[in-house]
Parts: sequence; structure tokens; C-alpha cells
Amino acid sequence: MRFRGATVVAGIALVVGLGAAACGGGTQPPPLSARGQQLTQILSGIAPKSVDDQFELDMAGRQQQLDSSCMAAHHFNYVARDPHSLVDTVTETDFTSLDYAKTYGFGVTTFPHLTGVDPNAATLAAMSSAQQDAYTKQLVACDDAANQQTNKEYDVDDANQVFNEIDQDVQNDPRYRDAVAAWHQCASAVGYQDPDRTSLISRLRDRMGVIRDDLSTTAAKSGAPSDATVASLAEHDTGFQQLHQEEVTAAVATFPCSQRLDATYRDVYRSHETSTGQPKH
Amino acid sequence: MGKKNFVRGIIAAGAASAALLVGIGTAQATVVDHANSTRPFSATVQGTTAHIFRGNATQSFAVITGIKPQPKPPWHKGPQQQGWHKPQPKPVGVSSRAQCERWNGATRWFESNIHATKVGQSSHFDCRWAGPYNRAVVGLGADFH
Repeated sequence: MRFRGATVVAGIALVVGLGAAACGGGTQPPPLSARGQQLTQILSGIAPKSVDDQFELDMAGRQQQLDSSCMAAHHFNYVARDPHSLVDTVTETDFTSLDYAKTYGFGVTTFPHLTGVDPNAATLAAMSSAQQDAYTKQLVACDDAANQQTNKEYDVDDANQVFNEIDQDVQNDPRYRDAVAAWHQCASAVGYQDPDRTSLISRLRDRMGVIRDDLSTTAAKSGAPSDATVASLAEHDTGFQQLHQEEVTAAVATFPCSQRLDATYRDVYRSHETSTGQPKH
Repeated sequence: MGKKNFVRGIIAAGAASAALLVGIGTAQATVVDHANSTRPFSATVQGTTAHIFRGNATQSFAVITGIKPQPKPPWHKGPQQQGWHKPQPKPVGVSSRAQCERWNGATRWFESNIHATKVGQSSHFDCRWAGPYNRAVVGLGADFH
């Protein structure tokens, strides 16, 4: 009796094990919703910037809608903010556009560009201290819940998991490795010895951080610490100007190299995406 | 070409910030962003001081550490010789901003809709809520309004 039970258990384990092996031996990625699939396309660079922008604006809009409903349910008035006041869709990095490279380089020496205002600021300012406390406490609670709900609705965690798994496969794929080596060769030929684009950007970013800190300190000492003051100082700052020119020159010079690398990434990604059972596009 | 566009970019950023400074609609706002740097810093705008810092790998925080009472407005003689005073700017609240990074080094800026208005209150933005840009926070900022 005991022996038979053990045999049954072993049999089940074998079937489960064989099933797992047939599926590649690892955890099968979760099936994604349409939004989740869209997010993996954004992450892999297959979707254009316009889709990326709209995805972010839609997420921010949904989160604002949830905030507004949640606050109303607790008898507070919260006017949903314009998503453009919460998400920058102007200066964020765009590796696909030569015009962007000519204007912003890789997006390192740029100033954020969010538009619109907070329609709730005046209401909040008119409240008593106790009302402000209650309002803010409730908004924080609503906002946390809204963010979690929005992330769920947009399949953010699962999409990232799927993307990360496929990305690992891409990074280990000889076709992509060859493309990275080719990028290095291509970039070296135009004067950049960095092993990859991310390293090149990090190098520029580190230098920008130091310059930005200096400019910000000067702006703060002048009594006007705003981005407008820093932008004005940057216009006449030799270090900033030089770095900006270097960034633009690097982005433009390596643009053809990056285009080839990114195209290979997309192709290899698609091939692994298909083999992992994620929908074809 | 690059320089021309850069100047255009600076003018656009400056104009946008200036527009915010003078106030669009009913609110006034001043943005203080430290792109590509996660070193903590403090900024004071219209009497409100906020400390801006990175909470963890993905979070940007802005905490109000001080609100200075605005000076009593001076009295002026009006056209009808009646006493009146010009309105002084009120202390402002603060919303945190974050430059969030994607796996491939691309970045995008976001602003929190939590608006701190009192000493000790904080506003934060977590890049985990930023869709594809959820790898890390690489720049910190604040919107005083």
C-alpha cells in the first residue's frame, strides 16, 4: 500500500518534471494582456516613441482618474491633473530620431519639459492646517492604491518579467553579441572607445552631474534656484556648452552604429519572443 | 546646426520655466531639477525650503523642512489716497520630480501629484510606477507651486 502510494507520487513528479522540461525547464512567462504586450514592445524598442509617449500619458491619466474617484469616495475634491503636467513627452531620450540626436544628443544636457499646472494647489492653499493634513493623508493613500491598480491594469510587472527573460536571451545570443562588437568597432572608427552606448551615455551623464551641481549651486546662491536660472547660466557656461556639443556630436556620429545595433536587437528579440510562446506581432 | 537647436532648446526650456515662474492661470510654479545627479540638495522658493533626496534606488523625495513667514507687505497710497497693500507671494507647496531610467539608458522625467504644503510633509515619486522607465532614479527635482 505504502509502496503503491510512493509509486503514484513518483509518477506524478515524473509527468510534472517532463512537462516542465518540455516547456524549457524554467518558469513559463505569464500570458500578457494587450497592454502588457504593448509594454514589451516599448521596452524592446519595437514600438515607436509615439506609442511609448501615449502609454505613459494613458497610465498617468488612468492613475489621475482613480485618484479623483478615490478622493471623492472620501468626500474630498481632487481634480485630475493633465497627464502632460506629470510626464515629460518632449525631452525624454529618443534613440530612433536623428533630429533628436542633433538637438538633444542622448538627452543628457537637457531640461525637463512638463507643461500645465496643478489645479488642486489653490484649493489646498485655502484649507485650514487640519484640513490640509487630512486631505494630503488621504491623497497619499489614494495615490498608492491608484498606482498599484494602474500597474496591474497595464500589466507592468508581468510585462517587465517577460521582457527581462527575453532580454536575457537576447543578451546571450551570438547575433546580438556580434552586433554589440560591431557597434564598438563602428563607434571606435568615429572616435569613441566606449564598449557600448550605455557606457558612453554614463560617461557623459557623470560629467553632466558635476557641471549641473555647480550651476545649481550658483543659481541657488543667486536666490533663484530654478531650472530657468540654470538654463540661463548654462547658456554662458563654457563647460556646459562644450559638454552639450560633445554629446550632440557623439549622438550624431554614433547614430548609424546605434541604428544597426537596435535593429539587430529588435530582430533577435522577435525571434526569442516567438520561441518563448509570447504572441507574434 | 546642433548649437542652433541647443539654443532653441534652452530658449524653450527657459521660456517654459519663465512661463511657470510668472504663473499660468492661477498658480505660480518654480521647478528645480538636478538631472543626472542623485546627490541630495535643498532649495528655497518663496520662503518654502525643501530637502530633495533619493529614498531608494527608484524613489525621489521632497520634504518640506521650513516655511518662512512672508514679510508684512508695505503700505502704499492708492489713487484715491486710500491705504492699500500689494499682495505678497504666499509660501508654496512642493511636489517631487524624478528622472527615471530605462534598461537601455534612456530617461524620462515624471512629477508626483502629491503636493506637500506643511513642514514635515513629503511628496515622492517612485520610478516603479513609470512603466518602462522603472530601472532607477537618476535625477531628482521638485516643483514648487
